Amino acid sequence: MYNQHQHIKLDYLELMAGDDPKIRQTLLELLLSDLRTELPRMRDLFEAEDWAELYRSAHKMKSTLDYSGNEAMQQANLNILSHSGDQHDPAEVGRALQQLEALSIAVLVELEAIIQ
Amino acid sequence: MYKHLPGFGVTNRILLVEDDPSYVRLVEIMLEESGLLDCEIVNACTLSECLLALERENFAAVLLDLSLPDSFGFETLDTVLARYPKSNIIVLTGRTDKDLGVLAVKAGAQDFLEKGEFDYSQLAKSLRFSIERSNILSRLEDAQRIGKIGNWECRPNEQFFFASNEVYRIFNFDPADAKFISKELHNPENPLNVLIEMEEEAKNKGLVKKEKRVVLSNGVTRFISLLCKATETTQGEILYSGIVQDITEQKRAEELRNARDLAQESARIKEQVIANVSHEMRTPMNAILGMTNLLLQMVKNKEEYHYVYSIKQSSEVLLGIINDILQVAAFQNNQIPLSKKNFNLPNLLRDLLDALRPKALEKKLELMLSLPSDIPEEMIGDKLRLNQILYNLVGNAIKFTDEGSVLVRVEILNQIDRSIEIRFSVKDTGIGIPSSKLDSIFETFTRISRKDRVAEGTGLGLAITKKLVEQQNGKINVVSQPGGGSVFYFELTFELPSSVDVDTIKEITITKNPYAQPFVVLIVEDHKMNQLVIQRTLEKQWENVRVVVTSNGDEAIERLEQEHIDIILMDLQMPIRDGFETTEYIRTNMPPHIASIPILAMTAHQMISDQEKFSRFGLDDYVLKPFDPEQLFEKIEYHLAKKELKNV
Repeated sequence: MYNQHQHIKLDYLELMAGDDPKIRQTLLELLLSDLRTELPRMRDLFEAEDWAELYRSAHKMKSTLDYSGNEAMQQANLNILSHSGDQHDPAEVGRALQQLEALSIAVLVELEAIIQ
Repeated sequence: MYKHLPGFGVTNRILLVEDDPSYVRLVEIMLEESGLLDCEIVNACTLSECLLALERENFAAVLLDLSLPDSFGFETLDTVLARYPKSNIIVLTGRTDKDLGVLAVKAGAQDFLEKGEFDYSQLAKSLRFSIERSNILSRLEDAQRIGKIGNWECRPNEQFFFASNEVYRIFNFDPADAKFISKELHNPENPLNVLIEMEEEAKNKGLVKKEKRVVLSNGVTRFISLLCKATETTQGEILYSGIVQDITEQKRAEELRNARDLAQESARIKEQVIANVSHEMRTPMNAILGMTNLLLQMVKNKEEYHYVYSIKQSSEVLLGIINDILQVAAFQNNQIPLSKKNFNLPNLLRDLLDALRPKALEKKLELMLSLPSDIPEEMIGDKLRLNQILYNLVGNAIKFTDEGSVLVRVEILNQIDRSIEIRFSVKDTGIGIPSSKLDSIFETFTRISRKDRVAEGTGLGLAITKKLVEQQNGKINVVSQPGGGSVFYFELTFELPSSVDVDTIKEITITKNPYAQPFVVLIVEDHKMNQLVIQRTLEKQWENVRVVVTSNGDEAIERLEQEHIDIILMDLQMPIRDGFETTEYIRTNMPPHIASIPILAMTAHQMISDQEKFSRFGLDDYVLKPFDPEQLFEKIEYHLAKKELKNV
């Protein structure tokens, strides 16, 4: 299928929404909302060195990012998952988080445009 | 063949080489009188007769007069020894030829006797000792030959070198031809030169032991073990002695062992890598299948349906292969748990055949079941594994049969108290298996190729089947002939439930639509998008479902207290109270009608399939995320039906 967006790929989201535009819209809004709230939260948790909570947050983000279809973000989030928690590696988490944040800027812009 | 040891319990035949008949008679009388030796004399009057006799027979000893009509003096001994070096010779000399006797012993004779100077007792003793010595040497040589081990001695000052025949044989010399003296060993071209190297080291160290790889004159490489010991005499002379052993076979065996270990390790690593990769592939495969299922419901025309259905079929095949690989890896890590639950064998077999009948019909094959009338309906065992074994065997039978039939037969072998031994056999009229493949048919990655088509599958099916049978303490075997079909059979023992069990617990089969009445699913999931998607998927599937959504364990417990719920879909990782804790709480702290509600875990963690972890927390089953809707529907149906029957 032709992907009309540059940074997001909504195949999964659209399949899950079926042919229901309302559900599609809700899922898009939830995706936008999750990204807007969870990413800054992850940054706060990282700075507070709350590794357990950061792990939980990344776990939640894993499901969220499935709907965005942005593979680079999914990979960066997986890196946070594997380097936070009990066996945390702050340097790796920091790098991955920075990457996730950088990638999210374009994704958020694109998402906002679709929703409007 | 059993033979008498030389010298024991046998009559010793002695060749007397003597041209004087009176002396021959004298020797005969002497030996008879001595009584020390049971012997028989054979007389040769000339050297020619002597050589002829030795050619015909191995004598225990040769009494050799050096003065014969056709040969005289030392030459007589030389001639005999040259032709028959192993002969046990006692030289008979004249009274004036004592020096000749001494020389004869140095040249290889065992002893010498001066004519007229020995009595019957000396003659008998000399013969007896020489025979025994000869026999001992013969046994030593046999032992050395068997052990491929030889001994050697060297006295450099005297230019003396002795090596047993086995040493020569190890270095590819004919012992009859090659007899070296000490200085010849210094020639670097001589393979026995390694002994000089050993001597030089032993001179300083006393004892040296080494292993060497040598290439012999015939180009053959041998591995030898060498030992050399230096001993200093009171006169300051250094003597060397040692042993040489051919250890080529041990080395080859060691090399093979190492190669085998390396190959096994490589195979293990390879399989582990494949398993890891397969594991990573399963998640996207599930996503592909999940989306394909959704897509199938959305397609608008036949052509699109055909394309999407092909994707679904291929994805299922691929997922099957991935699962096979993962299962082999799980066997290697002993991660396949067995369950012991009641099941209905006739139903299992009928369901299995129903599932495979379309494949058989496609090939116009007859698919038959032979079940004894007295087979108990209920038994206790691992239904899932038995189904998997039979599915593999019947599936293979259909795959490799182009015409005819496939017969599944069940026989009761033994039934004592509450234990029943059953033989299952799957007989086909297919292509059969070549005898060369029969031994390896149950090994991993073994496939039967067919001239007219490419072999299908991974070659893991039968290996998994065998493991599954053996894991249940059963045995599997095959009888087959190329072109004559195959019969795979295995035997398993099951427990039988007590009569009370049979009356109260029935096999769970979906015999009616359990959804004729409304039912309620409780979703416990903190992720809003997942909540929405699961809810929508369930509502799309069933019109009579009501979905209750909660975001954490506490909320779920609250809802459970407030309203009737039929089944729970539980996310495992949630804030406040996670899925494990919530399940444990429901099972242990809530009233029985709530505590018994089926709970299915919904998780992305593959480890959940670990049976122990599962039951420890009271979970009934699991669905992996991203989920396959069909699997989710099937599991919900199964657990609702089970619950309903329990209530009945």
